[in-house]
Amino acid sequence: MTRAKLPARMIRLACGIAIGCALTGFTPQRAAAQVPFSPFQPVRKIEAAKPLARDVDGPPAVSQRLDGTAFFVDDLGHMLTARHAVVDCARIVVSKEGRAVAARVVALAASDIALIKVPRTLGLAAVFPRVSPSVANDMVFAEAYDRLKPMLAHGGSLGNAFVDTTLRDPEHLVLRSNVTFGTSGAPVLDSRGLVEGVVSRRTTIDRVLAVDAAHAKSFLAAHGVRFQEDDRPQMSGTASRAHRAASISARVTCLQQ
Amino acid sequence: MLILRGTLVLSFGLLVFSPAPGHAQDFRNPEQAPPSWAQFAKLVKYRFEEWIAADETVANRFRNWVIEHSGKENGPPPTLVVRAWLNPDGTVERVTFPAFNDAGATEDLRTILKRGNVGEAPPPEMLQPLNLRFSLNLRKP
Repeated sequence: MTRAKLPARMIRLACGIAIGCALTGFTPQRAAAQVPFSPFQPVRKIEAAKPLARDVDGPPAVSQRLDGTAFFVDDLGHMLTARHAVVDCARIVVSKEGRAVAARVVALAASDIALIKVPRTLGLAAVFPRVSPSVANDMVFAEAYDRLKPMLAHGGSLGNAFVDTTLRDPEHLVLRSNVTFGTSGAPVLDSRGLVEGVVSRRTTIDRVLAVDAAHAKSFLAAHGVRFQEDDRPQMSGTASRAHRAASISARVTCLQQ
Repeated sequence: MLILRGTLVLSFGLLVFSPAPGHAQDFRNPEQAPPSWAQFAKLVKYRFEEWIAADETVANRFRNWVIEHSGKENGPPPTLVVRAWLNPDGTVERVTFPAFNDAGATEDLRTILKRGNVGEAPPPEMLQPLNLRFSLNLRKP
């Protein structure tokens, strides 16, 4: 290990915040089935091509991979995602902005959410609503992490889905949305930039279920995660929710044997 | 060859305001600022952390300078207030902070903090600059 690399892995930083004031001149699918969004994809078997080179002490061969989305819920590296995106994995990898780190499952909920952890945070922590949830026809934003980058290149997005209250569900937020594979575990951001739910599965061509914020918060609290709550807007009314989604979320990959 | 072993800790500490008379309105306390401002400031803080911790030439050189000179007369101060102005596209327009005794280290930190995009646009109504206080400590193993 070089002397330059040593401190790079150990650095910690924090800072207080003050904001200058104007007075000093500083102004300045399938219809019947519920479809999860994390497709299994075949992975090339390296060992099959070079059986004699197989590292018996190394990690197990991977035959399938499952890509979903997860998002940070504190500054310690805890993330929420969909349970089905991280269950029964030989390894879990979280990737964001060119970096990839191993993650471990902390807890699986009875509903379709899971708590995972990476060694340290790779993004901004999400904020949940304290009391007031979204209402009918509220525009929200939910998208797979891998689909955010091209969206940001085109200026971002205020919303891509609507809350649907015509279908009653005790623990889910029902969305009118056409999001597709890779969206499992993505945060559902409302107009205030608050996380209203965690994307679970599609029920019809344009209906998506998300585990609602109340259940997600209960799950986090039960496992000692100190998450942020607020009912006030966390971003300006004209700011792109796609950009906030990119700040808080990452790709989560389940490697299966 | 000297092998540096130590942990560079930039510790947390809320900036306490004790403005002089006539400057009482110069700052907005973070607790009193709109949450959207505070969230954006957290994002900037996170990005600055990442850029300083990056495993690349300038950041490595700056961290090594801090470790080698921490606690010495010509070393970095225990705390450093960085003022940052951000453009509407999320790039850092300008940063100011008290210069170190080493011009190279000063320029390195300036380069590091101006190199990237924080990923979001600052709230249009947010007052600038952001004032971020860094505490530099060297923890030896």
